[in-house]
Amino acid sequence: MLGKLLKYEAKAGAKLLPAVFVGMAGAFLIGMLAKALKIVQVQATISVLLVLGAAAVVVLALVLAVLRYHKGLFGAEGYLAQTLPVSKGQLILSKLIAAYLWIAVSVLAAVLAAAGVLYLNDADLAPLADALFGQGMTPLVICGVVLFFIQLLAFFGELYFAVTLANTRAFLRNNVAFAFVFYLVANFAVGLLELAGMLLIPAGLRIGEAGVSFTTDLMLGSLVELSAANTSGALISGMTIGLGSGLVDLAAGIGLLLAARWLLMHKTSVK
Amino acid sequence: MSAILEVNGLCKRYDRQPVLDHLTLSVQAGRIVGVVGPNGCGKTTLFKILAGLIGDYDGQVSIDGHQPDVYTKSIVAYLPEKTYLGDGVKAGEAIRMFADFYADFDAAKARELLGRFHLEEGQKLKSMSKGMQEKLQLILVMSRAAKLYILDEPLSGVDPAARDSILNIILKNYSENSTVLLSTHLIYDVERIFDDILLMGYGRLLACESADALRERTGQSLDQYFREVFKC
Repeated sequence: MLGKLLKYEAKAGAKLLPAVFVGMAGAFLIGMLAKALKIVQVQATISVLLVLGAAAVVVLALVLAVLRYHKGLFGAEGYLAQTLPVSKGQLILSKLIAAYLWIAVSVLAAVLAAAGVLYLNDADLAPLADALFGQGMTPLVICGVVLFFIQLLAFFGELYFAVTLANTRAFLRNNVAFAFVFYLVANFAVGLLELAGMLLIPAGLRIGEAGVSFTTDLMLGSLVELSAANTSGALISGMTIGLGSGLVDLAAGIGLLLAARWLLMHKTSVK
Repeated sequence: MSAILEVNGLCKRYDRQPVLDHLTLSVQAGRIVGVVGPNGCGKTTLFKILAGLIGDYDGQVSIDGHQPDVYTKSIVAYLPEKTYLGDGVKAGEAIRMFADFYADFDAAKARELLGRFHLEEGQKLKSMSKGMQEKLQLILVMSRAAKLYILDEPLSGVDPAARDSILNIILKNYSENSTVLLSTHLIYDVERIFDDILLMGYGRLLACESADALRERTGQSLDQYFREVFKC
């Protein structure tokens, strides 16, 4: 049943985002044509449009995730979704996986758009590639990407929990406003825990002269050392970046999603 | 016949207002049951609880021996008051979706009914009138071989001709062993099809008996009795 739910969730997203992707691809082709014909003004305009499009497509994917959850479970569509012979956990999971899918595709589209802008403007990509994948920095980049997707789990946990809580008896009358407030509170709380996890959990990446290596040193200790040394030049080299925030995000995301599922099973009403 | 539905001490409040107040009832399998009562008496809330749309209630609800869960959703065909299909959904897509999720859904029957009511598979919901939308949703629900049909105001907002066709869909497509719960304010139009009556008022059950017994006891039609009980 999860596969079937996913199919319909993916279809619902397919009504909006692919049109934006096609628009961005079309803009890039026009930019290439302008570049070949040396029409600088069009080239510049397309570059700006692609930058804006790159940002917009990711924001759109996030908005779509919010709307699909709220409208799909608590709007008119909820009358169908919540009476299907599937568990509440499957309903939430299908929306989560579809949201991940659309965000991953949108991020990819944004990266391609950024590469397109650099190409249209004859930028030298070698220094960027060297910064990302040279000098032993690859583990840092990979960790960054992995942490982004783990952080998304916490984001969806906060979001789904906030929307679900806002659709319980006490808050139903103003569910949209309460959903916003609950999201801010959950986000602040998880943010504090993330910070504590990043500084205090003994797992991190140490940036040294030779590259990046895993360490069990605390990021807090590294910051204290750097502060005591008082040398701005050593700010990056020798610094430990805590990975504990990822563990906190993972735990918070799973915990909040389970809480949302419990609320959906026992405490919510479809208006 | 055994009871398909048993409700015991069911309470539900919105804010501090009780909507269902210790409601207790039992419905036998194989009956067409009219659920009638004035606006705000809790009919829709009761149906939403049975369909699994409301989880925060007190008391016990048992459908075919189960609390509302995945199993009960597989045997309950629920028609809400609202249009739950998206505006952009085509009739054919809705049929495919129901076929995907409900093992008891008969897609061929749904297509046949669609044709009989002059609806096209390629037609989008937003291009349909309210009556057509209600017919489509009813076709989807009645094309299931469900044990319990819960139909919330299937006749509201449609013209008398459409009402007749909707009643025909219900009567011709439910199986003898299944049970229909149907709420309506148009008692006069529908009372002939009811085997039993659940008369609800102010969150409580005022009567739960066979329609014939109620007519005999009161010497009135259901419509007349309703008007007398709830006159302002």
